[in-house]
Amino acid sequence: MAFSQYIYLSLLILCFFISLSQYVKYGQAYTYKVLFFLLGFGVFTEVIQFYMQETSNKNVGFIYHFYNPIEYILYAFLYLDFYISTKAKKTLLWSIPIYLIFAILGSLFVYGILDGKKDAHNHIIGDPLKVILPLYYLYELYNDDSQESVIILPMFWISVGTMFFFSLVAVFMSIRVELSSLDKELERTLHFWLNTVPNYVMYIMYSIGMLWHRQ
Amino acid sequence: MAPSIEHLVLAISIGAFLFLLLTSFIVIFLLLQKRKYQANQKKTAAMQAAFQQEILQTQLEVQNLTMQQLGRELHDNIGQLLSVLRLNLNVLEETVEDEGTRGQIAESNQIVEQTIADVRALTKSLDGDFVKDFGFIDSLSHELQRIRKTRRYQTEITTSGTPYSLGYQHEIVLFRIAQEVINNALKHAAATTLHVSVGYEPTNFGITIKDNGKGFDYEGIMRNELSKSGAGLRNIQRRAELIGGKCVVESKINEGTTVCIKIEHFPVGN
Ligand SMILES: Nc1ncnc2c1ncn2[C@@H]1O[C@H](COP(=O)(O)OP(=O)(O)OP(=O)(O)O)[C@@H](O)[C@H]1O
Ligand SMILES: [Mg+2]
Repeated sequence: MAFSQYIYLSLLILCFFISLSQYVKYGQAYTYKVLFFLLGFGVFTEVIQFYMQETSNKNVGFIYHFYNPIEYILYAFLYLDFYISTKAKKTLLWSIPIYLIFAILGSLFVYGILDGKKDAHNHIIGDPLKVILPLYYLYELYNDDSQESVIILPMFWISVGTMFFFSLVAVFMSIRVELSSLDKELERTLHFWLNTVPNYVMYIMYSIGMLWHRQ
Repeated sequence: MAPSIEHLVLAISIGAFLFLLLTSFIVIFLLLQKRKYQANQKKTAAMQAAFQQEILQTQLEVQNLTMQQLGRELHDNIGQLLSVLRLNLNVLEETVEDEGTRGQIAESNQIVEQTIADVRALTKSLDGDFVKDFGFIDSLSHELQRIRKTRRYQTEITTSGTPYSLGYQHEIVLFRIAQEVINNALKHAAATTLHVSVGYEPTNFGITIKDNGKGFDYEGIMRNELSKSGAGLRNIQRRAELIGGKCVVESKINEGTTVCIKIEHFPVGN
């Protein structure tokens, strides 16, 4: 396991514990409950993934066929509580089954779960959706004239981090397959800057947001 | 395999670009949001101020109307009845032979006459249109005259500068303020003299009303809860603001009270 992966996992676990402590501190607030599940599920998946990577030489990418849809559902439920417009809430709810249908069909017929092809279709529909979710939240936040300071809102930092991460990952994943056949070295560099570093940034921003939280 | 120099350059530029992207997004968002919030805050404050003005304006209109109606009622009803009473007394005076009774009737007649005069004066003081028709200074003089007639107070009015009109709307408000101040002096001050001075400066209008009464603790009274203190002093403050003026109350125990109202005047044609 590479050094960068250790950092990533530690940040994720740190973030998870912060969400747990905020969950306890703020009387089991809905936001922290969802964040707790989201991050806990992330820790769980990554630990399994790294463990399998170390013990067997098999490609363990199939995990993400489960991870990505569940992650999307959790993000959707996270934002459901924050959207103001009912139309947006409804659209968000409808996006869940629609995304799931695409995800399942894609996993079963297009890519094949056991082929072990990592990060397949999920990035094509999933990532843009995960960018749109926080983007719409920020749009509503901008139009909300009652907010004096947005930096004390955990969701501001979480949204910026999420948007940043998924937009870069979407770019990287769309060129990854072609890249890896062209230039292995370049792929590694880009993977580091467009996936690993944004991942750090995202979890750091989650931590900032949760710790900065003022009521 | 050692990373080539090109990859190093690429890595650094991508890193810098991402960092710039993220921070500029956050900074721009925060700046825009703050600006929007502040603009909205300003708008809300302006709307609230306008709303306050509207309420005050309505209050004044209603009050004016009530006073006017009261004045007309006094004039038309009680004034008429008193006139009839005087006529009757006149007839009576002529028919009665007895000298003593006649004297008494004549005296009553005089009292009725005085009452009629008082009612007419009161009618004018209640009627805002009086200010419209005769102007601020005349109405005020009339008011003071009415008080002087009670023989309990000495009153004086002085003007300086060349009088101009402040507009009926402003003058009626000023007149009502002056009335409240004068009424307070009569009600609370136990004063013997009332001095009003009106100054018409080119860009400033000012009126000062001074009594030599017992004075009071102005700050203390304004700090009281609304339920404890009267509405008069608060109202004159707000009314002065409504017409764009400033009201200053100065009072010292045993040294009398001075109320000063100042308004900026914008000469027409300048
Ligand atoms: N000229 C004055 N001399 C002495 N005391 C005064 C004078 N003007 C006001 N006060 C004091 O200030 C208090 C508040 O005056 P204010 O005009 O607000 O109420 P009010 O005259 O008692 O009632 P209202 O005017 O509502 O009928 C009065 O009760 C009185 O004690
Ligand atoms: Mg009063």
